[in-house]
Amino acid sequence: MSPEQYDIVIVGSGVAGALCAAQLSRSRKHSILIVEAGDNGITKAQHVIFHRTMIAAGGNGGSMHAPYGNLASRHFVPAPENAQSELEDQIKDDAQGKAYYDYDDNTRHAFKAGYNRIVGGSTWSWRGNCPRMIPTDFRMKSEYGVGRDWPFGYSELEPYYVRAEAELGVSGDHAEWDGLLGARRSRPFPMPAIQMSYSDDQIKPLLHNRTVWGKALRVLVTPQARNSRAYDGRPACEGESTCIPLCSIQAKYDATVHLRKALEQGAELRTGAVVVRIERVANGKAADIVYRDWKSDDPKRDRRVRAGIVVLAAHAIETPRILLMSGGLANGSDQVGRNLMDHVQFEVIATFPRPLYPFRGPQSTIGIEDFRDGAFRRSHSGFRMTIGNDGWGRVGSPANVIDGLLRSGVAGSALPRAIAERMSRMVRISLSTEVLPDAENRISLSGKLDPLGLPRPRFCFDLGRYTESGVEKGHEVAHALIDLMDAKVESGLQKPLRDARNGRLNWSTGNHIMGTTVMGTRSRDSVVNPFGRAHEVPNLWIVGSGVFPTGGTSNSTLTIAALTLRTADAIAGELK
Amino acid sequence: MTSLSRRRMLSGTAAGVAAAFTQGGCAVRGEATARNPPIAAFMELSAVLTGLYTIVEAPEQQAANRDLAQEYWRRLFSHFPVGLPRLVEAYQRVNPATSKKPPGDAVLARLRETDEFKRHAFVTRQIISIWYISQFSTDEERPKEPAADGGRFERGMVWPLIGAHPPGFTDQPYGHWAFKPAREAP
Repeated sequence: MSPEQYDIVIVGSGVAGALCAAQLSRSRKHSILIVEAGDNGITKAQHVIFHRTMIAAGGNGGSMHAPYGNLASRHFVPAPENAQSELEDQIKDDAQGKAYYDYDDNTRHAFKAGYNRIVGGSTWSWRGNCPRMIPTDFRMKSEYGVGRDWPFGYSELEPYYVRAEAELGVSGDHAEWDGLLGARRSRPFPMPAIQMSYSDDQIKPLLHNRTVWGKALRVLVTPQARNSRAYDGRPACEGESTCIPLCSIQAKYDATVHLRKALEQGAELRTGAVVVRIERVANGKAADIVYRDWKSDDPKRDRRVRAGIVVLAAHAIETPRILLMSGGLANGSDQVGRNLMDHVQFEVIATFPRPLYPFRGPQSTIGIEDFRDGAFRRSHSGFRMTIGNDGWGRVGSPANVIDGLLRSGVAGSALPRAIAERMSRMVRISLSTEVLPDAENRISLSGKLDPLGLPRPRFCFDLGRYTESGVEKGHEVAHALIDLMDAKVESGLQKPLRDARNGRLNWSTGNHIMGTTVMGTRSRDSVVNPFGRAHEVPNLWIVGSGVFPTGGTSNSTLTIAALTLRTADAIAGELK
Repeated sequence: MTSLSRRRMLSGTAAGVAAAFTQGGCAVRGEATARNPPIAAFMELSAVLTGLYTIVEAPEQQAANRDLAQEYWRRLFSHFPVGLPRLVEAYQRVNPATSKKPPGDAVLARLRETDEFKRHAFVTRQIISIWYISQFSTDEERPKEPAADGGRFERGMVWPLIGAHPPGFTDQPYGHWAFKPAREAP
């Protein structure tokens, strides 16, 4: 019996898969199936359920997975929920059967970035920041002699950035961002910039136009996929302050927006379907997507569906994993799984001289872009900086602060005063740096299996000196900013830059997984062509941050969306 | 009923002490149980430990706080069936109904001297935690374990204290975060 057939099968329902499906289903001419490992709803009711789960888990306690802990899918298609911990802790977790990531003996660092394996993907739990990449990000090799060049430049992608901002609903200040670091904008943002916070208003005058590290600082409102007014059927932000891990009112974009549009336009969604491999059939004119249905009575039985075109949109770990499980499909270059990247982050927390009243509004609304580019990128990474409205962010939750006060002997009537004194003056500066593409930073297939009997991803990862130096410079700048604010670094809870015991950098992750199926013009050193089509498999396309040749310093989602629109146009052109 | 508890109850009534200070007084003496929890005494103990005296002092919040206390007692008791009642007993011993003092640092100082406080210091921190953030830890030896849910996250008393709303709950329109909160930090 021949398998079910579709014109297009899209694997994954995050922003890349959902947006691609919404674009390709507009004509209503093609049969489209979205295959997704997770199994959750995409309705407002689902948002309410996730909100309840999040609250029971303690609100925005720092875990991007908190609202999703009751999903059955996490038992069958585990996500890397403990990836933020250090390597030795992850290895201990693995010994106790609690890890998804496995590590090569040669790995130097843990790969700390995580993602959601659910319908809608990781957009359920992103912060919503949408800066564009800047022109030099696309030509790192030719400009600074490091990394790789993209096969096209900023100007090629600019019209797609415009469309992506409209699709996601980005609020921003055109005047502030037009031409910033060479990034011309041909259109205004679809919505005015998000309102700055009271805290921002106190801090900006202390930093704006001041000179640090030879640069005159500009404190700008970060463009963000968060409604500053009603937009696309979704309300304006109400400032719930839980952007990560969930915006329950969907004022912040998540991929269910485009999933609903795709389904309304006739696309189908099959959940609980974990892709095992892709097999080329019919002389390469079609492909079978082999998957397992964990919701069925026989979850380890292979099932299949046939497609004329396959679009892999399973993010930058699962997509190469599928290709590797497919016997190295599209891997003649041996680049599948390689050039794994993230944005490496560090937070400096401090106490401001006056109350800032954080924990209100979006978790971050302003940032400093000035250190994203410069000749220094020959020797160390650039970095973006954001200033938080969320107290001490991941480092100093209210629980930690209260516990710390109690341990220091504060008690009784002094306790509420001390809590108010400390928490209302919290300020956080976060820096986010680039990791260069390195063929040795990679995922491969582990000999260890997941609950469905499939090989888990195995990592070999080293931040590299380029990135570590960037974090060190960013750390210096962050301290200079703290000094300008006349704030005091919180010595008790602040992690040192390096661990005193082993000298290891204390870094955290941006959860911006990139690389692993990089694009390029040459089949010998890239996996897909500049439009996202696999060099070796003409009916296989890849969308998502896996195709990024370099990661720059901008949050990856807007660029994912822009590239997806470009790829969708190319596929649509193919189908005409 | 022992003569002490009988005297405590009668004295509470005769003295006209606020109901919150006496309700449940009979039940406290001896083994407190989940079925018959000493809520009033637990509220007083909580006020002393947290410094949030409005738990028992604000008449307009009495009913709501009592509901909150019942829920918190239930959740804490399920993890600390020995320590929690012992702490309440110790509190009642240092602040007996016969000479009831309003919650304050003097009462706390006497409580801290008791064996129960020293033995169950971890439980005292969890009582404080549940009132402030509606979460608590269950095992001192495993601090990295996920916190237990107090069931009333949106009622966490830390949020009004710092002029914020509970994360995930706002009743204000777009842009409210641009302004100084109506209720400033003390």
